[in-house]
Amino acid sequence: MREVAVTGLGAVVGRCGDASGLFDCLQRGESMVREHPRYRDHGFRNPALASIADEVWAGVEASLGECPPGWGPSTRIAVHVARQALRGSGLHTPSACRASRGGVFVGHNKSLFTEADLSNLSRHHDAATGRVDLDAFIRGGAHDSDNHYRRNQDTAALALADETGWQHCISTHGDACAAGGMAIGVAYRRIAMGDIDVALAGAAETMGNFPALAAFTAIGAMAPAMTRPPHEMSRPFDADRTGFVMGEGGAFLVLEAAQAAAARGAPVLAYVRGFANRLEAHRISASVADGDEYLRCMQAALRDAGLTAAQVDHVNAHGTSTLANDACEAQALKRLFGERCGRLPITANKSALGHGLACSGAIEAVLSVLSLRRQLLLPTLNFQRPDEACEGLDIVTVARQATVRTVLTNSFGFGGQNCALVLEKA
Amino acid sequence: MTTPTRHVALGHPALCCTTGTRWVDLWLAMLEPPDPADWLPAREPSDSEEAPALPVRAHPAPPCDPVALGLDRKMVRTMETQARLAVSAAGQVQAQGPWPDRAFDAPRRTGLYMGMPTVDEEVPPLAALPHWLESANGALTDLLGALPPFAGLSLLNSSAAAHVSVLLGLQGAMSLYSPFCDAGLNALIDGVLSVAEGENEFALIGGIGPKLNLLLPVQYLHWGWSPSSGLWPGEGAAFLLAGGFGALADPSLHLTGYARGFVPPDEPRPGVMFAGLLDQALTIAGRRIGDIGWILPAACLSREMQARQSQALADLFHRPTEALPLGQVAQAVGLLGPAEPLLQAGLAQLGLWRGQRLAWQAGSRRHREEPLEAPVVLLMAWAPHGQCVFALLEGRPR
Repeated sequence: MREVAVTGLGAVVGRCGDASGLFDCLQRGESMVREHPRYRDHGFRNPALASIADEVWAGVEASLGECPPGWGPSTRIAVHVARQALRGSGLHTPSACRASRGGVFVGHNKSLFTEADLSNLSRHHDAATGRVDLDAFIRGGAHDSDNHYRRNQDTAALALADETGWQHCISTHGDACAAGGMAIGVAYRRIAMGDIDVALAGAAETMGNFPALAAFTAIGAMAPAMTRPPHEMSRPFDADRTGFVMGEGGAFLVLEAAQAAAARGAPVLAYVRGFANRLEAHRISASVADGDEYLRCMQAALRDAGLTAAQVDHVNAHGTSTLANDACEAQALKRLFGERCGRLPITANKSALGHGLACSGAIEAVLSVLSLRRQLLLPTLNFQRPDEACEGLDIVTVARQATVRTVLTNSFGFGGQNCALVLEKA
Repeated sequence: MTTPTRHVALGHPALCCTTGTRWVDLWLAMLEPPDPADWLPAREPSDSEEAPALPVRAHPAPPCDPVALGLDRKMVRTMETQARLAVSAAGQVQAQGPWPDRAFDAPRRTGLYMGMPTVDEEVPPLAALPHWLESANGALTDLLGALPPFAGLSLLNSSAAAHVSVLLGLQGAMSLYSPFCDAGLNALIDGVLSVAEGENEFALIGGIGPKLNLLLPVQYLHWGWSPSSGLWPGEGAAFLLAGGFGALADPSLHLTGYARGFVPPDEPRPGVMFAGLLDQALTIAGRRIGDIGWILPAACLSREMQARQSQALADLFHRPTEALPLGQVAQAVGLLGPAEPLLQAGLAQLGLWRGQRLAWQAGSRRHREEPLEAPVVLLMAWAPHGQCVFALLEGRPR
């Protein structure tokens, strides 16, 4: 297996337009979660959302210029963020890209109709017969046939493959909340095994819209009501957690065979040392309460890295702020690290960023790389006291300097598709 | 450097599509394709209001009952059509036997690799919308109450994968791919690689087609499909099991070469780019183009792309298109997206067993049986956005 280096990073989340700025914001304990007026007006009892700020969108649009009509919000974020990562790696020119045997790996879930689409479609629906007049829908003028491309899962991957010329493996991952981590892990695997030499890997997702919020509200995964200020709603591992807050954004890494990176004098920011993805075969909506499935995934990632649990210095937890997930992850961490768990610093970035579904694993990987670079651990906001399940963990609550050689970062997907990445200091 | 895959066996193929669940019925349907069923009262849009309305027809899959496979009735209520198709076909892999017991006795070593499409659907359901549209505030509670269990979430690819993994107890490594025909071949290649590289001992590999949703024709029209192409939307799923050499009861198929790339959908002469990919696949397999005895390309949605694909293959094989040993399941079972390459893989296994191939008769939907004289079967997928994947399969007569 070949060594795999991280040579570029990019991220856009909330009001932060780049990875370094995002890390700085989080270091200061700032939250990206705000009350969203549109969803408050729709009547959601919890309209808290970590959406991409208007000024950041303006910057993204200005930097992209005119885009193909089929590029929806997540594709535009993906291209913008990937360009940041490519610039950082020195692979931002067409000639530099095309010299490499590369692939593109993007996490992006199936998107749903927006409220505008729904409203338009419903006008052509005859409630009495249950029929829809598709001709009228198509001809009516309000129907924009590019809308499907904008939601299509692979549009971002194809845009990036076109831009870089990295077309030896184009892969879109739809593994729910684990999709971003999966994309990075699969890219790592393909480089390590020698199929490709370089990859853009990450995710972009913009699920801050009506149907997604309605769907997650309906199953009770989101915090049910805004009983606190918006920025206090997401509280991973805290006894008073009530559910997650939706987030959105994007993050990409440039991964490269370490030898190839060294040959061209590229900056090595970190190494990807290990990866595992595992199915649960338990239930659709909840994991095994004792954390067994999460434990198995983390153990497999450490095996892949050739490390023991004792060699992990920091955990970037999945930490969604739901009762079940955090309890389950806490059990798994305690079983993996034993009595050392009380001294092993753990951070849950979703406390500040909300849960961006596919993009969350990619954002957390980028932040983990920066923690390795800066030897600084980010805080978990709103953690005040654990419940019984989460007792005994060292949850980082203010930014902390630390010697960090290895980070384990977890992503656990709805339906039971889990992954863990092991990142190492360069 | 590429991981060798020749020692990984593919077997126990299962399918669920308009022809049912038996491979021999699919074979027969390709000789004498069934007529598609009338489907939706939708019409092809036209610039002229006077244009004759064209009915949309389709190849629906027979109803499948996941409860009969042992899934909990409550859970089945949350299952979407594609998840039902997936568990139906995947369940048959387990049920057909003789079975390599270790695959499911040791579920931690068995992974899942699936290609699934994206279909635009209305969530919440249209019938629930008028209240919400009429009043912003008070209607939200009603609307949420009208959502079926797991609305939206049941449409996620990960939900379908979860149903399969719960049904079969799979706990190995996994990956899901979307949304077009290339996703099926990517699942096949990566599933085999996961066994070859030791990540899994076994890998269940599947492809699932789109559901027949009323918005499907709208999407297909956008990608250049026309009802006049004679190819209609279909529903279906197909699965195979990959395992190490000697691990499957009847190993008869091997992935010996593959290549993945991008050929722009508007490329006027895709043959040059196809040639590069085919050469890469043949090099991995240690084969020459003359060793290929059967070509099974996934159908292109647009008639123009389909014609360019056929012409490019004719150029590559130095034969007129009508003389190519080319088979296409879409002629018999409809456009199945990611399921199509997996159906073609199962068909390849049957052909290799029988020493026969099915060659499409140009100008009709029928195929004819011919002797399969060369040992390699080429699968290919060229998706509407340009993703292009080649895979070489080899097997032996039964």
